[in-house]
Amino acid sequence: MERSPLETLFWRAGSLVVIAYALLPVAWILSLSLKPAADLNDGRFLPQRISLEHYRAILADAQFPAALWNSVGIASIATLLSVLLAMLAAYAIVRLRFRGRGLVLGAALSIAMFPPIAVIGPLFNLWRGMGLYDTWLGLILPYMTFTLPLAIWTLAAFFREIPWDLDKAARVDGATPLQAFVYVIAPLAAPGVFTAAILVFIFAWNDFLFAAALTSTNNARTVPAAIAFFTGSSRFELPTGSIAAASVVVTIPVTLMVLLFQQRIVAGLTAGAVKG
Amino acid sequence: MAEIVLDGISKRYADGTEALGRTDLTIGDGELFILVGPSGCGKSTLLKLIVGLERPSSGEIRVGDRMVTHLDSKDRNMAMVFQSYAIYPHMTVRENMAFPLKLAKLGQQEIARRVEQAAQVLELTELLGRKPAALSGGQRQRVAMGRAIVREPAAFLLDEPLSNLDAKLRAQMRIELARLQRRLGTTMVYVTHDQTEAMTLGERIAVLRRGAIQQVGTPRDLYLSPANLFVAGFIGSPAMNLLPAAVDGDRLRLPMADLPLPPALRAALPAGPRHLVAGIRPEHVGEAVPADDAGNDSGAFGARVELLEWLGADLYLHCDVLAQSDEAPTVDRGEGLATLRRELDLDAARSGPPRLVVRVGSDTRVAEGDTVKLSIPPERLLLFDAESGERIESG
Repeated sequence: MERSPLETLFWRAGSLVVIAYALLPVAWILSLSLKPAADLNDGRFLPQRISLEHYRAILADAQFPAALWNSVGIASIATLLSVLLAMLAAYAIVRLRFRGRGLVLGAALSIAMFPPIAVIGPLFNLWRGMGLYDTWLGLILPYMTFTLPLAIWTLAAFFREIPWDLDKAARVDGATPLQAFVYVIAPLAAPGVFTAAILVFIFAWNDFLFAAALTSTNNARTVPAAIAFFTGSSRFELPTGSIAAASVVVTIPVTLMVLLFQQRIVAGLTAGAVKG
Repeated sequence: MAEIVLDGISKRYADGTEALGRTDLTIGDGELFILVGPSGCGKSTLLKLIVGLERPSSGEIRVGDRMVTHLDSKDRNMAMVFQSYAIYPHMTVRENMAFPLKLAKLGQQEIARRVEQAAQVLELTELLGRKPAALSGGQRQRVAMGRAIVREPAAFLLDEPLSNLDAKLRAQMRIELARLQRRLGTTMVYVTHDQTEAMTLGERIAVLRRGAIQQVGTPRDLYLSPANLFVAGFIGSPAMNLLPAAVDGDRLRLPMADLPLPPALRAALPAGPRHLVAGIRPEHVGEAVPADDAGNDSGAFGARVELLEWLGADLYLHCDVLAQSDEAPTVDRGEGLATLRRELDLDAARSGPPRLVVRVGSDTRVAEGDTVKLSIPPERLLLFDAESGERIESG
């Protein structure tokens, strides 16, 4: 159907409003991070002078690079493990008829709906007792717990779309069940895998609650928690510039990752497998 | 290459449905064997049992001298072509065909050689670099076939391989498949619901119904001497005419005529009154001549032409028999006949006067609404027990 010019205008203007609404705070932060300390309160949107002093400051401090490293490591490991486990679980749920299939899916969903704040207290005590407090594993485990259900549901939806005949064909062609999964099913589920990976990574990367409660030092403190512990040069000064610079730095990896994986989420990858 | 022996196998699913009753079947080495039957008759289950995608509930399967009943499908060295083709969409045609060979850990050169060879046989050489999405239906079908032949398997198993193609391409691929099978000399088991496909393709055919084999034989056997009503009604197009019948002394009473019973057939009849069903092929009903003279002697009867089907070489008349009201009702319609008609969707399922399909020469001049005189040669009649459906064989 042909769109009227008015309609086109409406959609374009609408899109612009939405984009501006979403990106304005980000632009503001970027602007703040580039202003020299003296200009921070000048109330202008565009910085008068560009300075990288805040970036230099946070990178010179031992705390921020350590937190960045922790964030990258913890989020990556949590994503990798979560997606790997979710793939196997989702495949089993979709292909096998076993008792308690519905129960597994239901339980997964209820875990995802569980408010994380409710487990923080017990987890804190538990981790202290088990020696997991302030370790990478201590954060990876809760991240996996809360992201696995989402990953399983996402991947199960993708596996359901893959014709079962492809598994069978691979099995007849001489593949073990694992080979059929690795060579045929997993490559076809790649868009789903990347979708799940992005969701898990963003959750782990952005989490503040667990990171603030379950870490105390540079051993495992991630960037969102570290930013909260930034201090100004005196107790009367807010570290606004440093926070802005750190926020920009922490946004870049997520943006990169989403852009990178987005290209892999190609719809219609299974086209041509079966007729119809 | 080997003989496939199914020894008393059956399949019952966990929910209690019996997909396949106790079945014995031997498929010869190098044979093109067809499994045919309406949907849900267990033919696909039988194929899956042979290839190992399903485990039998009882019985055993042997290939050559090797027992494969509990062998995983990957170790049976059989190749299967699925109705959906099931070619791997993320691989090129070449990779698709090389996949089973890679799994078998063949050398690079050997893989390349075999893929080239198979591609040549199936005229796929130009398409080797393409992805399945860029192929037409017929080409995908050939890729699926190619993936099967590169392995040089013990047997090919084809599950309705042509049913996704249009009619013209299907007829062409059917011939190509038969030619390919003869050339390779590999045992092939072919599942179809289409009796025409079965009749034109197979050396031997097994007709299945509700998880039980009805008859195994050559197309000629099945057509000329069907073992029971089901096979008689299923094989042949248009279907065999089936009419209720009764025996009265040495006469056979049909709804429209009395016929002398051939002595051989009479001898084979079980004693006592029985409900019978008489079957006659459309081409065996006597040539229709416009009803002008009254030579009403050897069981000739009148029928009104309701529909003409002109096929060029043949002309089929769908006629309503003008029943002789005083004699016809003596013959009860068997329960088995009614179910069968529903199941096979036979034209005669409707109530009213019995309908006959008659084949006549295409140059016959008849119009719809005409009354024609027909006769049935008694020696061409097949008689079936209406209750059991079994054919009563003469001599």
